[in-house]
Amino acid sequence: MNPSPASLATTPAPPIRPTLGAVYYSEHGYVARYLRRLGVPSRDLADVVQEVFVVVHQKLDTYDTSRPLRAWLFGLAFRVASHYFRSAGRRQRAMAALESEVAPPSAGTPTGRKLLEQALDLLSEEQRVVFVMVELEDMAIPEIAEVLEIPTNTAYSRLRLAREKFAAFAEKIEEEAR
Amino acid sequence: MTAEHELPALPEKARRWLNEAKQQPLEALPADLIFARVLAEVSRRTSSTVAESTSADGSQSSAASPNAAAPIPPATTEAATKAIWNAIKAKGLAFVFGATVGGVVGYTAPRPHVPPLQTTNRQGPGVVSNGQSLQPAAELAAEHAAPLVPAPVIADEPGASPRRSASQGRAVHDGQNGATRTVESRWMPPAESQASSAGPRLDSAPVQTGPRAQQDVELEAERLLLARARVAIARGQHAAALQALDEYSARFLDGRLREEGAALRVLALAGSRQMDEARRAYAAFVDAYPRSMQTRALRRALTD
Repeated sequence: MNPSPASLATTPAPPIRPTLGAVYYSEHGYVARYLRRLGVPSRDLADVVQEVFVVVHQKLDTYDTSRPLRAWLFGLAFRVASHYFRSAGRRQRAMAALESEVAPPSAGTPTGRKLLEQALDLLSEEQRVVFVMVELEDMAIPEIAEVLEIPTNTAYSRLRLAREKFAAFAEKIEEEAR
Repeated sequence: MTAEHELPALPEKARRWLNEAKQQPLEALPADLIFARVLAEVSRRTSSTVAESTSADGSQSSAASPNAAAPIPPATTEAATKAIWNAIKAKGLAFVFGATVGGVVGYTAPRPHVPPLQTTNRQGPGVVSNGQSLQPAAELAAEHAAPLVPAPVIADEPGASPRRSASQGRAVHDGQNGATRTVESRWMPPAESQASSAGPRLDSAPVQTGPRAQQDVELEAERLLLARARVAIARGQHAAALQALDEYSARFLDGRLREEGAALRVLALAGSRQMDEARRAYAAFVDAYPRSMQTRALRRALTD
């Protein structure tokens, strides 16, 4: 049965699904920064970003347009990054690259950025992703739990553990500075 | 957030590190080059799917390759275009016929080793759409390359962070650390992508040697240069497209993709409203490639 003109007038138009190009050009910088914060070294960043957006193309039909785009992207990016880290030897090489590309050893007092990297490296992958999403990307725990497909309490737990480690590291640095 | 979700507070020093990190600029990447590679990878995987399906039923194998059993990517532009069109039909993808002259020609599968090409970061919004319908491969490129929103600035925007939810955010919890593997078990990149996810690195040098490898490298260089032009056309940057095509003509006098280059030139000229030039380029194109599948789309670009 065809809808009546009146019902057509009141029916909200379906949300427009963004194209791959639109998503890429509006979000690739944020995705890249997020991947860096998860620990992807800059030398591999372009390749991992490329893989993320290939996956975006594959999954774009399943994106729920009522949900925040960036959270959805971060979920995909996290999975691609996880795969990247699981690849043989990648993690170790990534860590080595991170160490070498931050300030050189002779630079004196470590910068805040380097200390942050060191603190993040203390966290497990699961803790790190939740910590980064909350503390650096300002996402809410329920939203994170949804995109990571984990229970909310698990997300809270990971954040709590991550904060404890992070706080302990910061206090240790503070004491050393005195 | 409930009382049981109470989180340990972060020391002031740690807060400073985090605040500094939030002010850091976005990563500066060769955005156009990465996007061209995304398109090429998407196209390659689509072609692979078609090659597998056609070799399974044997119905299209002659179009894709003389060797029916081998999953060789289409060797010619025409075959590639057909293959992509078949893939689009097979997958039921609905492409919006919106991209300007964005278009282009069939993708063929990228080779594993790629010399780096210099590109620039995207600086402004693209322009798209004159309602022209293009050939399938052109639609693929044009639709995907058509940005609907401005590019991000290369500096952090404090107000541009994702959904902030003060009421939900810093919640606290003292539950157990239930490290699950749900995510990993539910989704993984396809096996093919695992093999290629390290992918052809943007900064890697070719490691193959010999004349065949040299040909592969040159073909990939041709493809990337044309991809640059294609993306520029789709974004309405026709001058940049023509510049890339000039570079292509200068570097690859006998390039294997010169048919695509010639087609792109017609589209870029028509898009920049240099209609006399565009008609001349079209006439030359028809002379050189009288049986090209792209003729119709080019004619449409000239008449719209």
